[in-house]
Amino acid sequence: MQDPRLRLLVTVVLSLAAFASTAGAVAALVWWLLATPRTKVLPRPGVLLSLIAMIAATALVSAWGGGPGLSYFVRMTVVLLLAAWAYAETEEGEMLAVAVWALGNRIGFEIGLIAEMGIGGLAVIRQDIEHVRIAMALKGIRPGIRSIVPLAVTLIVTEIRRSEEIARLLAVRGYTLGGRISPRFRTGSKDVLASLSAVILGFLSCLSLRDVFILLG
Amino acid sequence: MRVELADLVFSQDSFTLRGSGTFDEGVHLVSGPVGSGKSTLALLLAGLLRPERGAVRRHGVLTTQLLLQFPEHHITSPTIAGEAASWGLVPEDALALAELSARADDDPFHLSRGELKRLTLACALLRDPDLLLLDEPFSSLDCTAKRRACRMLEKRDAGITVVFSHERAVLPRVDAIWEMEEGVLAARGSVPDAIPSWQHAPPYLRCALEQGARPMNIRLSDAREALCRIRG
Amino acid sequence: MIRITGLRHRLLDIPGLAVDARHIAVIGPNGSGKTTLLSVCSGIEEPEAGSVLLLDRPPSAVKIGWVGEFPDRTLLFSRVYDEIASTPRFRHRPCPETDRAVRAVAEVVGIRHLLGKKVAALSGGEKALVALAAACAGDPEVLVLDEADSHLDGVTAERVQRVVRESAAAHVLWCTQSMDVAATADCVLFMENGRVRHHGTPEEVFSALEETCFYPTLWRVSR
Repeated sequence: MQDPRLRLLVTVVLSLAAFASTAGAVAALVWWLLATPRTKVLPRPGVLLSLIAMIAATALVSAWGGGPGLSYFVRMTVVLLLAAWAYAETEEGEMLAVAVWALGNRIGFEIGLIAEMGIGGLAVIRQDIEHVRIAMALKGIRPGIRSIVPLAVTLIVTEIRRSEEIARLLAVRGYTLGGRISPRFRTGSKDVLASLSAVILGFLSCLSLRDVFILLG
Repeated sequence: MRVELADLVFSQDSFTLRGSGTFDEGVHLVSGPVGSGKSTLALLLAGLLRPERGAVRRHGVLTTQLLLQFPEHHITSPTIAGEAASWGLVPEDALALAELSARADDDPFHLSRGELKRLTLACALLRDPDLLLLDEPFSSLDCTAKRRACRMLEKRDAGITVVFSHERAVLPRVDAIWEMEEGVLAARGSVPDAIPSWQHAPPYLRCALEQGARPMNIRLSDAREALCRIRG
Repeated sequence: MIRITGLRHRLLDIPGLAVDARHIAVIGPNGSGKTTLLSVCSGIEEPEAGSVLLLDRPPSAVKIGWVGEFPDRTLLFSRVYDEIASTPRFRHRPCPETDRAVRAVAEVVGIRHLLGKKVAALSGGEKALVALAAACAGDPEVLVLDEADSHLDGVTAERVQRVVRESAAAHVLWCTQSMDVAATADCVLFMENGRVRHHGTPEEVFSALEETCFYPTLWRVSR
C-alpha cells in the first residue's frame, strides 16, 4: 500500500476491530491474508516467535484464571501481524508527510519531526549498543544483569551528547516552530479498494453477529 | 606468529567485504576512505564477526585486543582508575602512560574525547596482546597527542599490530601497507617498496615522491630525510 | 568583518580581535576552546561577558550554516532530501523555492544522485557531504565547520574544501586539525588555553609555530 494515510487508517481501524472481538480479529486476519504480502513483511523468526510466546504466556495465565485465553491469543496475534505489516511498509519521511497533512505546518511538523528524529536515532542507538556489547566482550564481561548498568550509563551519556549536537544543529538551521512542507501522496486504486474493504470489515465486526444476520436477512 | 585471511567474504546489507593475505609480525597500516570497510575488517580479524565464506586463520596468536574508534564505547566503570582495572591492568601504570594520574577518581565521561582516547590506547597497549587491532587510533587527537601515540606504538617490539586509519599528517613507522577500497582489501606489500604504489598516501609523502625522493618509511621525518638525501 | 570585544565565556578570554578575512582557520590543541569560540560566533551560546559581531550584527541576526564534528551521526531526517531542505523549511519558505534551493545546492556539492536516497544507505563520507549541503542550503552568510574534516578521508575532505571555497558566504570559520588545510586559509587563529595566541596570515602564524607539530606537513617537504 503506497499511501501512508490509508495505511494508517487501515491499521487503526483493523487493530481496534481485532482487539474488540474475536470476530473482528478473524475479519482482520482475512483482510491481512488478502491485501498484504503476508509472510514477506514479518519480522525475523526469532523476534516474531518471542513476541508470540509472550502473548501465549499471557493468554495461558488468563485461561488458567478462567478468562478468555484463546480469544485473547487470537486477537493479540492479529494485532501483532497488522503492526508488523504497517511497520515494514512505512518508509522514511512518511511520518512527517502524514503528520503535516493531518495537523498542518506547525503542530503537525513538530510531531513529524520528533517521529523522524526518533527513527533516525534508533539506528544510531542500535549501532552504539552493538559497539558497547563488543567492548564488553573484549574485556571478558558476560552480558547479564551486572553489565546492564554500565551499558545503560554509556548509552545514556552518548545519547545526551548526541542530542546536544542535534540541538545546536536545530538552532543554527533556524528552527523555531514548525516548518513548511507540501506533502504529496500516491494513491493506487488497489489501495482505495483495500482500505474500503478494511473499513467495511471493521464496521461489520463492530456489530454483533446477530445484527449481521439481521442485516443480511 | 601470523594471521592469514583465506579468500574472506563478508556481507551486510548491500556491502560486501573481500580480502586475502597474511599479516606477519610488525606494524601494518590499513588505509582507505570512510565507509570502505576498515572497521568491519577489524571486527573480522578480532573474531567478533564471522565470515560468510573463507576464514581468518591465526597461527601462534594467543591474545587479541581491539581498540574501537569511539573510546566512550569502551567505558564500563564509574571511575578512571576502575576503567583501567576493568582492562585487567594495574591502574597506576595505565594512568601514568595516559598522563592522567591526577584524575584517577574522576568519572571517565568527564574526560574529553581526546583524553579518553589516550586512556583506552594506553590500556590496549599495556595489555600487550599478540594481535593488537587499532581502529582510527588518531582521530580526535591533536598533533602532539598523535605523535605521542605513534611513539607508544613504535615501542611495541613483538606481536602483530594493525592500525586502521585515514590519518594524513602524523603516522607511525610501519612495516607493511594495505588499502581498503569499496570493501576490497589490497596488499601493497612491505615498506619501503610499497610506498610508491600507495594510493591513499598522505600529501607530504606524495609531494616527496613527486620530487624524486625515495623515503625509507611513511613518517614526515622519513620524507624529509629522503628529500635531504636527494638535495644533498 | 568579525569583531570580538572583551569576550569571556567558559575558558575563553579574548580581550579584542577584528578579522576581515573570508576564510578563517581556527587551530590549536585539544581543549583550547576552539569549539566554544565557534559556538559563540554562531549564536548557539550567549557569551557570559563581551560581544561578538559578524558583519556588524549579533550572530543571532546572521544566517549561519553549521557542520559539526560527527556529521554522519547527527542528521535530523531519514531522507537525504528532507535533511538538505531543513533550513528553508524551518524558515517557512514556500515549497517551490525550497525545492529549487535543495536541487541547486545538491548540484554544487555533487550529490544530486543521492537526493532520493535514505540516509541509512549512505557511506560515512556521503553523509558528511549531505550535512555540508544542508548547511549551505539556507544561503548562509557565515559558514562554520567544527572539525568537520577530522573523520573524513582525503578525497572527501578535498571535496568539502572546494565547496567551501566556492560558497557565497561572506565568512568561513573552519576549525580543523589538518594544518595543510589551515595553510590554505586567508587568516589563521591559533588558540591555546582559551586565548588567541597567534593570528594573521598562514605565513605569519605558522612561522611562529615552526618548532611545533602544528607546522603544515606540506610546507615541511616543499620548502
